[in-house]
Amino acid sequence: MNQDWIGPVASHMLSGLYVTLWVSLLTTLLATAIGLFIGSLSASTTKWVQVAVRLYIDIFRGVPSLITLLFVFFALPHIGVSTGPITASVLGLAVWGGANIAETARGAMKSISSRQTEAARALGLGKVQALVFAVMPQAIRRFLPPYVGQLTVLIQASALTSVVGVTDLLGSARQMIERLAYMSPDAHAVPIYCGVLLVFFVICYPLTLLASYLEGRLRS
Amino acid sequence: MLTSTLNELQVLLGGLGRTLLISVIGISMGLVLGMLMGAARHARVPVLSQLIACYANLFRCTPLLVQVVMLYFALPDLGIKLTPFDTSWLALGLWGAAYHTEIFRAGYGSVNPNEVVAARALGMSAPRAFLDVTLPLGVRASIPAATTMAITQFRSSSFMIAVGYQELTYVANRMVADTFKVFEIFGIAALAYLVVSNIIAIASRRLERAVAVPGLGAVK
Repeated sequence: MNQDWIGPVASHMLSGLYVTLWVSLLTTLLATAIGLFIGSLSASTTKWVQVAVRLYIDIFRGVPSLITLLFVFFALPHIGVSTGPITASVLGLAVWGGANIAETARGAMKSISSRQTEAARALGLGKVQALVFAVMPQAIRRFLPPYVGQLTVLIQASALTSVVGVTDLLGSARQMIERLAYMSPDAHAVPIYCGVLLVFFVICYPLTLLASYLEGRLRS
Repeated sequence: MLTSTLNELQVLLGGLGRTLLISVIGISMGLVLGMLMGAARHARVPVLSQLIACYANLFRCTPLLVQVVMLYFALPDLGIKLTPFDTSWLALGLWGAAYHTEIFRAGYGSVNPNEVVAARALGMSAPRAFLDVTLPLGVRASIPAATTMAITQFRSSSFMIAVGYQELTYVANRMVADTFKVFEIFGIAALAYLVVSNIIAIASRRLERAVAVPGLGAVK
């Protein structure tokens, strides 16, 4: 059996994996920043801030990630910003993922009794100080387990970038299968896609184990 | 102008119809498989329970998009050709079942063991006790989590754009590419997803209240 196809396919998919990891990392960082910022804003007592936070969270959590991604991809050039598909994808996924992380952060902070804030305020801390020094250190333990779960969702969502033409792991796999199908009778689609599944599994499975470990530690 | 707008709405509505069709089949399949596989996991049926755990981990730790693409583009190599429609509902169902399995397993596990002991003391066989006590109570307890997952399945039906099934995201994306009405068309599509998600959530809360056992667990 001819094994010559494996070398070029593997090297092309390795560059695809690099794009996937890069997109996942950037998306994660940006979504975390957005999520923590919006999540903290939810502690605000100003009415319009609360309404804006609720709207952002509810809209983007309720809409498919792919719609957000496609919207950003088409809307950016429409308003005169020309970026590559990778930047547009990262922005689209981060806006969507940020809403999910914001909701997690909001829930974690809400679970901390308001007496903690009152006690901190009574000790002379300002509103922001009470949030940062009294509420957040306690909330972070409840935030972490679902947050790690969100990370696996974000990493898996990076595959959506292939829909707008990014040559990520999935995109590179599809390209190689098309080329093999053109050159030879056998496109080796089954082993190639199994490889893609395996890579995602190897990245995401340890993260789900970490999430359930953190959750177990929280309960005990 | 008006007729073209009406035409566009009609096409989007057709897409929504196909989104609902694959969602209903995929969600039903996921729920039924999840209840069955969750039961096997709960009862710790040897071998079967471990196989189901592997299945659930594999489908939860890999992107749905890769699973969809694989079903459509790799299975023909093994002699199985699926239409875009069959791929869509099957992928949604298989992927959802992995999550529903864990949801229902947790639901069955949340039933007070004393209830089962009481049923057994009344002379019920173990399978009878499961069907008459653990199953009805466990499924009730699973309604909120299963609903969240069902809504996620509904939103993820947008991924079927990858195999060319003409659901809502597919037709919206096509229309935006043709007409450049980015904000209007994605706005309508997003609204449709939000409205249906909320209808599912409201229906589920009604169902939860309607089937609640008086005195057993608090219903919000």
